[in-house]
Amino acid sequence: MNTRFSRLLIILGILLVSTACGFSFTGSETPTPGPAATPDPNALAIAASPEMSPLLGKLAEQFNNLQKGQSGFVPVKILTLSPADMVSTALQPDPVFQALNPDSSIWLSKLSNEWGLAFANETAGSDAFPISRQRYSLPQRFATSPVVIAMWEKVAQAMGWPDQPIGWNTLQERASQDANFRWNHPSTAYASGLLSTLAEFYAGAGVNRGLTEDLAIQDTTLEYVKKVEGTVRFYGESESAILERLKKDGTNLLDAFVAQEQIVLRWNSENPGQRLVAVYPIEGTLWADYPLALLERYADFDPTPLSSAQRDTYYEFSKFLVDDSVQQQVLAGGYRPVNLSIDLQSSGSPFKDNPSVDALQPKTTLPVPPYPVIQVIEDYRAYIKKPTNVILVVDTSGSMADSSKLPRVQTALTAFMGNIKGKNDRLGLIDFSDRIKYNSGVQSFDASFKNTLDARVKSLRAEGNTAVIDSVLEAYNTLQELNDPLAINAIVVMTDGKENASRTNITNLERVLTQGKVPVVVFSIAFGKDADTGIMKRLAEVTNGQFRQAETFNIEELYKLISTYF
Amino acid sequence: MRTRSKVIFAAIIIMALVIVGVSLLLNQGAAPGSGLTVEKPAEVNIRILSAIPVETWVRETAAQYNAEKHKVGGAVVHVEIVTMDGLIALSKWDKDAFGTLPADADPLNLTEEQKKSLADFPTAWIADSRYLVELANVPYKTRLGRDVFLTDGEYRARPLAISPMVWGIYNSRAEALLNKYPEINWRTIHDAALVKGGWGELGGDPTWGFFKPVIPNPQKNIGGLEAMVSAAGEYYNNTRIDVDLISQKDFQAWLLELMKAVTGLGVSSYTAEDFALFGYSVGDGGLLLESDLLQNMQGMQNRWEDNMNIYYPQFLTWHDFPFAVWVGPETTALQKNAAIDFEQYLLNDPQQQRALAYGLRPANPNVKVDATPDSLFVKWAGQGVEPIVKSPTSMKNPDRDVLTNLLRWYELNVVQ
Repeated sequence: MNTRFSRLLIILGILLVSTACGFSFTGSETPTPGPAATPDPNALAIAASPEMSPLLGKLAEQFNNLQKGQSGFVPVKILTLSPADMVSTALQPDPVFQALNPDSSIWLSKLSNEWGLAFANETAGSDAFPISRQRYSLPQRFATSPVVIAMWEKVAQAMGWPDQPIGWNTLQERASQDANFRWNHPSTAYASGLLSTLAEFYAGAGVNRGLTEDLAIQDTTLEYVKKVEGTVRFYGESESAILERLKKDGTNLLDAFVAQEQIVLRWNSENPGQRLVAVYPIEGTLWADYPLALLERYADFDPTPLSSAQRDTYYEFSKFLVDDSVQQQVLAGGYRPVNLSIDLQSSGSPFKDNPSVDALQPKTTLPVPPYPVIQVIEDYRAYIKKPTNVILVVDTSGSMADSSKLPRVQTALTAFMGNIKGKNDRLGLIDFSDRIKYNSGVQSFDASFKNTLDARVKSLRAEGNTAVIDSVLEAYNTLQELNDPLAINAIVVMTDGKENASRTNITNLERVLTQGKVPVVVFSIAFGKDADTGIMKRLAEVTNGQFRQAETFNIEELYKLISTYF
Repeated sequence: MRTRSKVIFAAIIIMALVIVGVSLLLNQGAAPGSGLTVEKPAEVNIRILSAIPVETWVRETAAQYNAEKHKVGGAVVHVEIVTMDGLIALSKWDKDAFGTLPADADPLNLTEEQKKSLADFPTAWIADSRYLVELANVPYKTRLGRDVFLTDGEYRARPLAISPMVWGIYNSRAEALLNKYPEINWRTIHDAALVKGGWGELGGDPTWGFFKPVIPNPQKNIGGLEAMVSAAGEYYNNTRIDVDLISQKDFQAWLLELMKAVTGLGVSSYTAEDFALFGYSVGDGGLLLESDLLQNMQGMQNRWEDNMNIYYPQFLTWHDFPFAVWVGPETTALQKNAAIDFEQYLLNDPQQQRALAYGLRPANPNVKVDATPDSLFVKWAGQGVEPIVKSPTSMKNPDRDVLTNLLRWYELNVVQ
């Protein structure tokens, strides 16, 4: 063999090794990094409702510790989402979560229906069996809680509790007749909000069952619902958020609110001085039954498949949730466990000898109408709720040029405006630095005005000092001039800096805010660590509004959240 | 130099051969029993789709079977149970969602991709009812020209246990109903549900609201479809229901009144569990699978301090949970034989006796329903459960067209 032949042999050998190595690795899979928004194949992500998220997160941690080091499992991670958002996300390709845990089965019905409509052509007109592909499977319940009217004990007693039956009609009548009666229900993105609105539709239509689409949208029904909704003190987000407001603003904020039974138990255990009682509406209620369901993925729809490890982890986690010790934790959290061998009156149970709840209630359920009627209630929320006049007051001082603050706020404002859908809602925009750069006035949010505001938001520029107090005063005066006391009048103000350019001061502004003919609620957002939190808190407190701290990562979410109040 | 080159070449060749050999060994061991290998594997995996009402019994039995390391053809059998509602499974078979091989595929020369796609193919299916299996055969007969689940021979579908659909009504409510109506049947349920004055007019406590019947959602649970068939049977006093009968306007109007009065959470497949979890608020009674009802009886008593009484409809529909082995090249002969071995294990006396604790009636005639002290038939004898069902009439299996029409009618008239 010559040198050239020797080299040829070596190259041939290397090629053989390479081929052999290639063959040996055929069965192994190298994970390909995907874009940030794609689902994580190395975890089982579960979307959970805000009320359940803390408990489920704790249980997931316990499960992960038990499974650590075992092959074939991935860690369980909990994402917090409203049930309505879970459904809309699950209808899109490749949702970031593999399982969902809404507060009620009613959301799985919605998912099932909308998914079925999307794939109806698979079975339509053919002789295929008319069961379309399913988006979810293996629903497993692990905790339940009936939806109740939560009332302060004295308020309930004054209404005849516990001897007299109280129902949705009692609540609606009281709210309509007594202007001082303050009540609230969560938004219809939650089961309890949907239920209380449904109860209004039943009463408005004058039926106890058989609510049809035609009955729901007839003028008399909508008028009734509008009247009742007009008595709502403020539109809430989740039940937990209402509890937070009660803690912060005091119990005088509301006389009653719609929530799950477990919220009543949670409040009473954390605040022994002021007791809530659970009123089980005589006409019937709904259950928050927290179904955990696995999302099925389809190769022709979802680019990322569900792995065996994710499926196995789901199955094991579902089993773990109904384990005796876990079910005891569920009970301790104020929920009714699904393990029926657990006695709700056992020692240590929050139900034991507790007159604020009744484990043998509810006795009847409010009939859930067919899906299209539910859809009407969701879609017509914008028409039946109290009209809103809201002014967005936006800081565009020089400090907003830092980092990506301004683009994030522009996105957030656009998202906020996208959520204002009521035909009677009006919107305004004030853009300020050391002076008011732009005031749109408050106008009906039609297509033309929407285009105007969109264009303005896109052209926002960061420059100058900060005159937040003057700007809020300007917005307040605009709402007073509008003089629309039947609507919710609100200011959503955001600043990222310290007040340093106003002509008036906070004390004067506070005085003005409490003296106008038309009550105005201020939602204040302190954006970033340099924001003037003191002033922003005072603005919210004096108007019974809300103060929120935001960072660039959550400013958009916060604006979307606040939009649900209107 | 030449010698060194030869040595290097020889070393490289040896290394390549070693790697190829190890790879072959690893690949052989990686998927025992999958695909169409001619080697005798040490282990064979089988995947069984199980209907929900028997899932716990089947899964626990499978765990015991796996622990005992049963062998078929020299290979240790490992059983994997996949829970799936019968209707969902049927829709998957219907759409060929498990992925059968193309008609022209050569089972002995499958591509790696084809072998991989068959790794999750079900070896057998435990459906809720025999007629679901018959329905699943229909599209394959068109596609492949033959049945994929057999009705005779070694691989024929055999029932594992049986359970009828029965009326379960809370004692307090049943007492009031029977004071007003002669018996619990479809007509009574229909008429009571339509009474405008609710329980007050029916002779019960007015605070109970309306009489609320519960029937499983036919889109989620085969029991719902069976309920409509059974209702038609009583309406026409006929055990054989066809498309003409269910298309009659009078019947559809009557059925619509009934179905519109049904309450429920809409997505649940476990109606008896709903009664236990949510009590009267979910309904006053309903048509339930006997085994499901018996399993949840204790829970109802614990949580709501009221039991249910069982009443047997005149026109009975039965779940018989057939064990149907897939007959096609997608699974190996070894897997099919392993499935038969597991089926026999489920039918053995000890396993059939264990089924009694789940309220299932044994398919093995050697095992009586009161054979064990933990039999739910013994425990709940006072609630109307009959060891031998006296009801004279069983509904005949309806044609596929009847079920398809009923489902489409439900979708168009009740859901919409």
